[in-house]
Amino acid sequence: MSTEIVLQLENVSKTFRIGFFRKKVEAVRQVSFEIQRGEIFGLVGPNGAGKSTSIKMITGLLQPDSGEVRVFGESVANVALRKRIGYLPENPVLYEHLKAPELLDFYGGLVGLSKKVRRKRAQELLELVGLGDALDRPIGKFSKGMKQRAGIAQALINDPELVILDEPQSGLDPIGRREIRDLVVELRRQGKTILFCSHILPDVEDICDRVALIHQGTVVEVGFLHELIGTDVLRYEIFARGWSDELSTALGDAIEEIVAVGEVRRLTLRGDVDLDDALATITRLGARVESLQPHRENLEDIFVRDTKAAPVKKQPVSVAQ
Amino acid sequence: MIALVPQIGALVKNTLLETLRNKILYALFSFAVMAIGATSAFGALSLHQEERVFNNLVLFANVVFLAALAIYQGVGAIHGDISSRTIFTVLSKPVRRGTYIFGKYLGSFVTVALALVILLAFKVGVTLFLDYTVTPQLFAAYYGVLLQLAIVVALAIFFSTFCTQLLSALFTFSIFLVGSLTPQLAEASVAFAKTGNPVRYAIDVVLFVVPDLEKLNLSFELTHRLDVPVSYLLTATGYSAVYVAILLIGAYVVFRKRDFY
Repeated sequence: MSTEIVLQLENVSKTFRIGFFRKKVEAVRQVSFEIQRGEIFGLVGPNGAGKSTSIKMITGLLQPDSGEVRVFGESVANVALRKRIGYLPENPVLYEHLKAPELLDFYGGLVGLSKKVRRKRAQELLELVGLGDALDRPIGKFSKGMKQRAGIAQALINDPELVILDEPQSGLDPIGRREIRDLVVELRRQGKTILFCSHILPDVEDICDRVALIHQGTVVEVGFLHELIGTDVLRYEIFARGWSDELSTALGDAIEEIVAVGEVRRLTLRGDVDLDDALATITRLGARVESLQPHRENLEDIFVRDTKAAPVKKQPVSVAQ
Repeated sequence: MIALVPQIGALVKNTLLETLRNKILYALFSFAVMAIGATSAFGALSLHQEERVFNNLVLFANVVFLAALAIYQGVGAIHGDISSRTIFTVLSKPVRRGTYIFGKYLGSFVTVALALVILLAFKVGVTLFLDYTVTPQLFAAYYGVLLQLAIVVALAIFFSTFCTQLLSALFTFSIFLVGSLTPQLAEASVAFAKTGNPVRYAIDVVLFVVPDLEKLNLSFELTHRLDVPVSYLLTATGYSAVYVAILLIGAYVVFRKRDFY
């Protein structure tokens, strides 16, 4: 990963006016983060947090009230820059009357590709996203997953350096989700920079290098995943056979929960116990450990913690790297 | 440098395909074609004025159909993209908003022009079948209709950049109607002026702002086989082009800062 900044949002705010009385709603407040070339950057947050608003300001669909959005070092107001950006909107709606090759031909025309290049690129992309055998069907006849794939194909038609994916796995089955995740990793391998906005937190945790958590229009956390998550073990999950009441007494407070699963016991031990001592006690008193799983804090824990507890910050959030 | 030609080409082709694959259009089109057939029967009912009645009625029926198509097409071109949110994937590409407006306008205009050419061809076919004469005035009259449609589509595009779909259609239709009644409005203005009624000022403003579509209506020349000078057609073309340009610039000014969420 290079240190070149591909995308930078600096104190960006956006207010909408809604309803008959044009009531002001702050969708995004003083949001700042930056993405470096070659990284997969996760943007997470609950519904209505301001993720899609932020993304739309990057793609030029919304204009910020204040602050600055820079892509490749230039203001996003420069329309020509979008030739280097690919964007998949949330729940993409595509032209339903077009067939998949026609759709990509259309978007290829919009990015200024010649007819020959468009045709070649469309063929490659439809194979890549698994739509190679659905060439003669209009998009309107596609399943939701197929539409999502077609949406991804249109986002990649210009071979973009920065790919922005807003909920790319929405509505997909587990296999489809896995394929999208693999595709994102493959795109990064090709040297692309990816802004990955998703609710599927295990996938974000699995593939993203850095993450920003947005809540109520404000960035509440941003950083490398290992920094955010930490390495402390929260609890251990143990499956043991030959359990006795004597063991429960011996381990005492160390046990958070114990559940009988047939002849086996599933017990949850506190993360701060001396694991060696606990295992020695279990063995000494005649039980046998069949599996041991340490549980560390994950992105979901951070997400729940920050979105439940975080107060609405009135000041700009400093997210300098 | 953004390649404008492929962009505009893509927008035009897509708009055209969207219309050609819309089944509602075919139902409307069949109705328009049937109207031409029915009109020939009306001509037969008149006394020794068959050809004149036929020419007049067919032109009128075609103008009504084509104006309705132009409003439907012009209003739906941008509204359709906004309401379906396909505009997200279009404007996030390196497409300037002005290019988008122009591409959508051109696509809609080409669609309407194609419908006009088909109706004209059908009209010529029926004319020959009935042993009537195909005159140069017929083509001049349809050219006038084409210019009217160019303005109507631009009006629909202009209103659709800031009004709802229904209001855009309503405003466009109203202006089409008022623009087709300019001689009557001018007479009303004169009449009001004689009585000192200040309404005349309002009418004068309307006459100044609203496009004079009646000037592009050559049905009288068609019916009475009057020559239409080329200079007149050139002036009419220039007038329409200027009006369309003003409307599209206005649409761009409204649209360029618009948010899509």
